[in-house]
Amino acid sequence: MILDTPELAVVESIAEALNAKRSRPFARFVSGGTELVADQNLGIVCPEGYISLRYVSEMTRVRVAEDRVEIGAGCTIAELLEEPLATALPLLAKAARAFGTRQVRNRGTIGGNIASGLPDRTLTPCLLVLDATVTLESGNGTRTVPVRELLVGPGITSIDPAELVTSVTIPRVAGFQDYRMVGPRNAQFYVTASIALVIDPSDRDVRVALGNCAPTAIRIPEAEAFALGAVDWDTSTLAESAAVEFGRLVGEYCDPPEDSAASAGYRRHAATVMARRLIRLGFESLSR
Amino acid sequence: MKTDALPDYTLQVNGEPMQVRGARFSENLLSVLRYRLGLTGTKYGCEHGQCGACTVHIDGKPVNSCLELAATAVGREITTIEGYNPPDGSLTRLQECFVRHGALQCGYCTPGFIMSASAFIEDHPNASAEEIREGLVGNLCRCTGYGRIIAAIQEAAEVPDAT
Amino acid sequence: MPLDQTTSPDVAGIGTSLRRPDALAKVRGEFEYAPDLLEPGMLWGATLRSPHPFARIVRVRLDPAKAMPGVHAVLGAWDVPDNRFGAINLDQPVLADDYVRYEGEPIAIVAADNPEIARLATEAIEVEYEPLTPITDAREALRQGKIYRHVEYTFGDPSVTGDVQAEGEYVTSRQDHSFMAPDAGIARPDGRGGVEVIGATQWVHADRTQIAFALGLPEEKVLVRNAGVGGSFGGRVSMTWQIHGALLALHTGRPVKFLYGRRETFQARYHRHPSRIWVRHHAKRDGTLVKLEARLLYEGGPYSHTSAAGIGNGCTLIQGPYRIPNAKIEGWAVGTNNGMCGPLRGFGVLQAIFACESNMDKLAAALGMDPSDLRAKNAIQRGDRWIFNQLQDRPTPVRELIETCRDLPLPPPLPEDESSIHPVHLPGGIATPSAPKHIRRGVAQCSAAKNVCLSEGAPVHSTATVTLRSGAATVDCAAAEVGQGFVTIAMQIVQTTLGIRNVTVTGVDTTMPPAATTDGSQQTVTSGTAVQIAAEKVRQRFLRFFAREHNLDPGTLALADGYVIGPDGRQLADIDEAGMGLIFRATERFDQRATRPLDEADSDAPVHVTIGFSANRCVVDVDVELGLVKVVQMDVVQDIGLTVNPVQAQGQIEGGSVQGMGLALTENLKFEDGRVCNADWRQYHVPTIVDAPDIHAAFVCHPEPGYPFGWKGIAELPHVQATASVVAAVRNATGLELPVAPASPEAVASVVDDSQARLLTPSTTERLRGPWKVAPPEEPSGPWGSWGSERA
Repeated sequence: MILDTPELAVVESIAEALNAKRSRPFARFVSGGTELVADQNLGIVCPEGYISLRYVSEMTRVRVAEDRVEIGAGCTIAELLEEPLATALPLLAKAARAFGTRQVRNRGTIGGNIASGLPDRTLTPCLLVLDATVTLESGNGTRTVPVRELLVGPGITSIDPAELVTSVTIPRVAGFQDYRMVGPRNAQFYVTASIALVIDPSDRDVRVALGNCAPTAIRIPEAEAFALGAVDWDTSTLAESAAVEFGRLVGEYCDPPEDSAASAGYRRHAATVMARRLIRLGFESLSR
Repeated sequence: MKTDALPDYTLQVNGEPMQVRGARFSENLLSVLRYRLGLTGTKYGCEHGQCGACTVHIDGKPVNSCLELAATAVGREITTIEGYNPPDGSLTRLQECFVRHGALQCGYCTPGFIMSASAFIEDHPNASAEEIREGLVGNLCRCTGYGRIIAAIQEAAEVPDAT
Repeated sequence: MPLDQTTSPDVAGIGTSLRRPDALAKVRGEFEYAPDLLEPGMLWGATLRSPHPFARIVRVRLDPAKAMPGVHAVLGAWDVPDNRFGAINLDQPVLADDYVRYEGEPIAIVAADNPEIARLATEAIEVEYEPLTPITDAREALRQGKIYRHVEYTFGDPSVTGDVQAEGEYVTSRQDHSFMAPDAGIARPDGRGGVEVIGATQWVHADRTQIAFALGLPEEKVLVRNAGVGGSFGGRVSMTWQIHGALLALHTGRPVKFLYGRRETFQARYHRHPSRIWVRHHAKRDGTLVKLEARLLYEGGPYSHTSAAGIGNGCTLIQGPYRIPNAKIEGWAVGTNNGMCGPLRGFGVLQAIFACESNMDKLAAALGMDPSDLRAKNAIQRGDRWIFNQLQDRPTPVRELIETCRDLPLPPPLPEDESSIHPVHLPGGIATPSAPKHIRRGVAQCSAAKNVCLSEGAPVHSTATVTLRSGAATVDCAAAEVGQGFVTIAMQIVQTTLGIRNVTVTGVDTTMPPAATTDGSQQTVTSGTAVQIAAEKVRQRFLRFFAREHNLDPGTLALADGYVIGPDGRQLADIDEAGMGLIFRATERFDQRATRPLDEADSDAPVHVTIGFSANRCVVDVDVELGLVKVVQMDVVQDIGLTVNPVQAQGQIEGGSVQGMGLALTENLKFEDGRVCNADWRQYHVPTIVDAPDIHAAFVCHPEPGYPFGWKGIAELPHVQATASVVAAVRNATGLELPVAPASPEAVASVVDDSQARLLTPSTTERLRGPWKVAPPEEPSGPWGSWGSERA
């Protein structure tokens, strides 16, 4: 351990982290701090202690295999823009480029983005659409679950307070994958609405997820099912009317919030438009 | 009442070890730099990671010092504007460009921009105006409208031709 | 001739882009701002603020806080000798006593060993409230008679009507100054029963008056000094922590520092008056304006602050820079519990110009005329009378500005090849779902008028002392430098007048005579003039001395380039040596011409000291379906009388234009049921470096009479007209009415609600109708005729 005080532990391993939590049940795990320390400074939360995971090298490992990538939860957003991750996970690289600011990307982590549970986080729609799984460790052992199982409600996850997100495993996918978002200005914002789309011709699969259009990031199975049936997989084409219908379904089956940033109606509209445009773009690029 | 102090710790700031005494666990690095170590060159803008006025380098990377728990920076190399400045009171090329281009008015955002931009131009020689816009999004300015800041950074990023 | 784009330390005098004297310190982070102040032995202050927008205070118990270790003082309303202050009227309590009237109103203050203890102490104070129903809508406030000022006047023949009419109701939202440095400062006892208050203000003397009054002290016992100011934009006119700090400092006998966080800086301070303005323009078929009707409703906070001045500005400059022979104007400034309102760059006029310019475009459409042609045709001219019965008796290049601006080259369109476009050029930015085929370009031109200097009888004057010794001069003037560059201007004025380079401008405090407040674009024309007159006096005294020493006629001598110049143009002596170590000094005061309140219709005096003019041509790219906007470019042509410092003047145009764009598209401090919704920079969106367009400034210079160099105030006009211009350009791209600023993505996408969300395909060429339509009022007098009848 680098620091071992009643209210602040700076640990160097997962074991130390779990131990530190046992003796400080009130303390919050923190890695980048870009969300938690900001909330603390604003008086939104008042943690009674912290366990800093910044120096847990076990949680910053990256393993790139042919079919999947395993990223330690402590990897920063900036690392998603560097090799080998940028090539191995182009969808996350696209989202990472749009993530906050350089300063925030140097500190914010994948684990933090998941553990937040807020429905407007940048990476969660991408992880959902890639069918990522998350590994968590606690005193009771290790479990690996799909990301979707962790996201329960706005700011609510099924992560136990004594549990640590240690890594994320992401299947690699070829084909078309993209991330788009709209917000209240042209840079540095919490998304008003976002979309991640994967079209995998080899698997004949279309997957779509939305950010900030529901209490959590969500997939839209109704739209996906429609697309699977509407796509001409032999030529990798999709009729314009089908793209419109796809967009309409995405809009119909989300449940967006209404807040000071935007109305539910605008979010639904944005999801509809983005979905239609993105699936059209996807098939245009595949057929080239 | 949570006012128990951490044990004294040492931060490596601008190449010097600096003792931090009696700080609480939740104090962020911006606060510690400014009010415990008296280094007020790093500015307090928002304290929630939106404005970049608090930008420092940690191990060479630009980060918002308002979001750093100060005690977790033990063992890292922290560089503030005071450490970036040439010790003889002169200006670096980047600073000279800011001044010459009139890229500051009230100047409150300026140290943060300098720290952000200095890291940026190391990674982006001959950066275009577009790249500068994208790269400096984490620094807000309310006075200048940004145009002269972009011009200053663009000039500072120019690397003379090898030929 | 193109304007300078760089500054230099090696130039001197009026007309050069002399480098700011504080630039080196600022770029090295060595310039000390109010939040940076630290003093040994200082305590930290904190403030207990009301959680309710409107409530009766039943009971306050300070004892639990007083009992905490590390707490040195806890003060409430009864600790304030005279518990009143205010920017104009003394109608605001320093600490709330019987009622709290806005969320965030201060109730009690604490001084403690560190900020954490101070904060916890405020939480330990027990307050019992009886919440009451707040007034949260300006129209409701009007109905209930919470009226700070009612303005009503006519001009010419108000019964005239035009063959062509256009009307609309326009709304602007609450804008925050969002200067970069939060509120902060230190108050310390001076050891002689008085107090020193060091912070960041626009007007040290006004602060001193109010601090002394509240403390029951004579003004001589209060010293107010400015540390570095990190931006202001009209937002540091009234005080937040200053009287609190002074009270705590005197009570504890120690320096007390206040540092507000960003949220507290939002909550504790005032914002731009939201407005609702109905306008009807009447014109002949050839486009000549014949009448203006307008009703303006400005929403102020629960205390009057500067609301009367704001509505006065709005009710006069609703005219815009146009010649209008007949008018019927009515306006109200009312009070709600939605937080305080006060000056922000373009005070009271931005709202009016937004309505005026929006409706002029509507009129142009009704006439089938080009909007720029309509404006140029009706440009006010020298010799015309304003509708508030002021003679426009000075240069009035409005038509020239409009036509010059209109003819400036347009930027190239977005390239067809998407892959060559960097996303920062697209509406939405990085990861935008927008592509060129979704985008429509819009272009619009606006022109604006803004009063320079405080108006309606407010005294506007500055005093400056200039001292010359051994070829170097110092300037003492209480004009607050807030980033706008007055310190540079003052140097240049003395450099030119005394022919020297070495000029130092000292800091600002109340040991100096008062100067004008840094407001109303008035510093150069008021304090600059005072500096010039004082320097001129010094010049005369110096030349009289030199002439006597050398048996010459002083009238034949000049000072230039560091030398005394003889009648034949020869350099006679080095100014440094010629001064023989003597001190030459003068203190001079300059007063702006007197103005009259609007209501005093019989007076000959003008309502405004003078009025400035500008034109702005704005180009936007709009993703019409999603409502995303990228402002591509703004071209501004402004009459500034004389270009004192080209780079600094352009800086005012550039910064002001981007700030105005903020209110046009993204800035809106929202309140619901009297509670603020977005009081931080996560949720209140100021323009980023990606949002900012290219801004080109061009100046025309028609010297303003009454000033030695003909200079004219610059700073507010660019902000005022950018808001109008950006929204007008978005209207041009979309065909929507967009009567509200900011025109959020939601409004621009014209999404009404869930069930009526329209899907637009890029092939749609039909101009869209907006969701909001103005129905003609049943009575010809405007939509609030019945509401204004209940007066307090």
